[in-house]
Amino acid sequence: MIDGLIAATIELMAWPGPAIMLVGVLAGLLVGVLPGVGGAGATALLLPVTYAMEPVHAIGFLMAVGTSSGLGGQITSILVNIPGDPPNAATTLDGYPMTRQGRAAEALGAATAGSVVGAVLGVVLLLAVLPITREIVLAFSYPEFFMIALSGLVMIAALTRGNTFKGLLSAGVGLLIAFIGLDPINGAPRFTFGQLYLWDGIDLTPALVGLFAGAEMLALYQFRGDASIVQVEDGARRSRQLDGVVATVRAWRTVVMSSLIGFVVGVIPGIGGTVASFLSYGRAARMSDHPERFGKGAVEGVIASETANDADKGGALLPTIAFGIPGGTMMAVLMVGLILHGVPVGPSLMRGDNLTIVYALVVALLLPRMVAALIVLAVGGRAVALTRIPGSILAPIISVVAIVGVYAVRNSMLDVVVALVFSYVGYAMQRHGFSRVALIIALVLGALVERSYHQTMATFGPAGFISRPIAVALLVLILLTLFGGPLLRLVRRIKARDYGGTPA
Amino acid sequence: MSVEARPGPGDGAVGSGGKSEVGPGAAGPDPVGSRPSIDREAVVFDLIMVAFAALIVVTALGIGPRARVVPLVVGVPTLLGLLFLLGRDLGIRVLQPRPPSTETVHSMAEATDDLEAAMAAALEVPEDTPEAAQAARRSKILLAGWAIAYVAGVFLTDFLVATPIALFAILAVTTRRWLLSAIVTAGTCLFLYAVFIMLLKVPV
Repeated sequence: MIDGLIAATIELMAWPGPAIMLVGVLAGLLVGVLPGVGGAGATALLLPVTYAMEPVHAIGFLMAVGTSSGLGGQITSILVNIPGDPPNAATTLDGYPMTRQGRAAEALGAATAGSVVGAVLGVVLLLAVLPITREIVLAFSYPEFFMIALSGLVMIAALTRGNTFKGLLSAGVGLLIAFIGLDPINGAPRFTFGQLYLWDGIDLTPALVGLFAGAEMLALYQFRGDASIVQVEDGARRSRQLDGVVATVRAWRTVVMSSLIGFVVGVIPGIGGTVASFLSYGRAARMSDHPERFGKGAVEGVIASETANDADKGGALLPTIAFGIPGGTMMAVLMVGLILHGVPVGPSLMRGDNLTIVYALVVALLLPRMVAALIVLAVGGRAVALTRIPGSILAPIISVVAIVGVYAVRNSMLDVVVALVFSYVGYAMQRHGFSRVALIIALVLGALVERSYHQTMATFGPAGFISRPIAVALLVLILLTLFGGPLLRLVRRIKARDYGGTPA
Repeated sequence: MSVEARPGPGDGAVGSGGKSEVGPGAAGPDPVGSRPSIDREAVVFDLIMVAFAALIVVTALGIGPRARVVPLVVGVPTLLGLLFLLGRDLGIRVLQPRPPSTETVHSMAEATDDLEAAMAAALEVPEDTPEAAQAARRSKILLAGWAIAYVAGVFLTDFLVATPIALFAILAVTTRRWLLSAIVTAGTCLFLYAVFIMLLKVPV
């Protein structure tokens, strides 16, 4: 294996490999900063550029674009509350509050360090699991997918503690929006009201850009016309990126657990980095000694989401190369790229000479991200200057960049209209205590919930949900998440009453 | 911990973005016997969401039995929950109101030490003065008008024509500095052209 990795590295680094990867890294970072396009979109857009390249260089380039975009996306997530790439959305939850507290550099340092460590651990896990891949993926079927999706929703509802009712309602509305489009049973249009545009459902990109970027820009414009985002005293101590790196080292438990979560979620096709980062964020918050700090500028929140987001790609590569099942959108685009270059995907990739391609993919997963991390650490701090621009100027500029990004994906003006509508919805949700995160996660998981429900019913019947060990384990986890807290409180109350004390 | 951490009226905590219970006009759990004020914005938003959920549920009743099962399983409880929320925001009480909980007081006490909550409070206070409330209303109308005019502009002209004009218009109206607005608009357009058209070859 080591020999294979060394050989792949040499092949990737053969001229003009480094130059090609560097261009890919820069393009990925740039696209990551721009909200709307995203890593997968950018990789797809740049696919034609690779036609003339050697397959191994094409792999390096596509991986560089796809993996670097997350690092670019973290910059805008932290500095202006705009997730450049959907998986960066969880980073905004604590990254942006940190920026508002004058700790932007620390957040950037933590996010970058978390990304790099997550990527390394993701690749290590990938290499460790590669030989037993087939058994793992085959153990998951429709009931397990259904339970995984359900647990994602329940987790988010549980996370909106103090506001669980509105969290659940937000998730419900998100699911209803997700059901718009062709129904998964007959393929007939459903809830489309005669609009051809709605046949594909509400696209995630305009919804995401509107809910997070648009809503924030509306708030920024409305309330902080002449003020900048940062609202700390001039004399206050500004953080350094090194603080973030140190914080990442200190939060090693969060890093390891987030990498595991990211990797496992990545392995399961169709779920992807967005869910990985939110799940990891939720776990970090629940396990933290100071959960009350989450959502208000906890550096562990930034570390958890970015680590999982990058470890996810290691997991996502696994089903892509082993079974030809893309672990996520980015991997789907990569798979198309491999096929274009005559590289076989699926089980035959794991045999004989083709193993060089597997190792090239593994190395290309890691190498460009190291370069991208160095670039972010070198110039990311300077991007903090963005936060000093008055809201009345910054908000319209970012809004237009976001609008163009949304428009560029499909050249559809209706996507822009959707983004604008979701901007106002997100703004109202924020003002009235609803959870935008619950809505967007429900929108992500909606199709998976419905599809896996029907597939389970058709394949296993209702017993499928409770007769398979992994599905049962996940069901128990869901029930514990929902009722564990209240049950524990009830037990404590009963115990306190029995002993004549007062309930805590 | 709260992921979204945007508690709003009646949710028991103070946070960024959501209206604070401590502020005037909040329709949270008020002391027993006092008359709750109605947050009209919250009611309008509740109504919009109720209308959407009702539309999905009613439409679902007319589609195939298997295609409607999951939407109905999700839609009916969501609609009922939203109706309950609407009633609560309208001040309709099914149960006797409880006195303010110690948890809320605890959250408020915490909020005094919390920078973000303090900033949220700073954001909300100006709207409580008549002048600031009027300015905020004007700003909302301006933004809504801008969005509608922009979309209309795109359909009437072209995306590439309407977008820079819309950017220049909003900057000029807001900053009242024409030259700065023109420079910022030109710079943004150049950046977008370089990235999307020259670098990414996106057929915008």
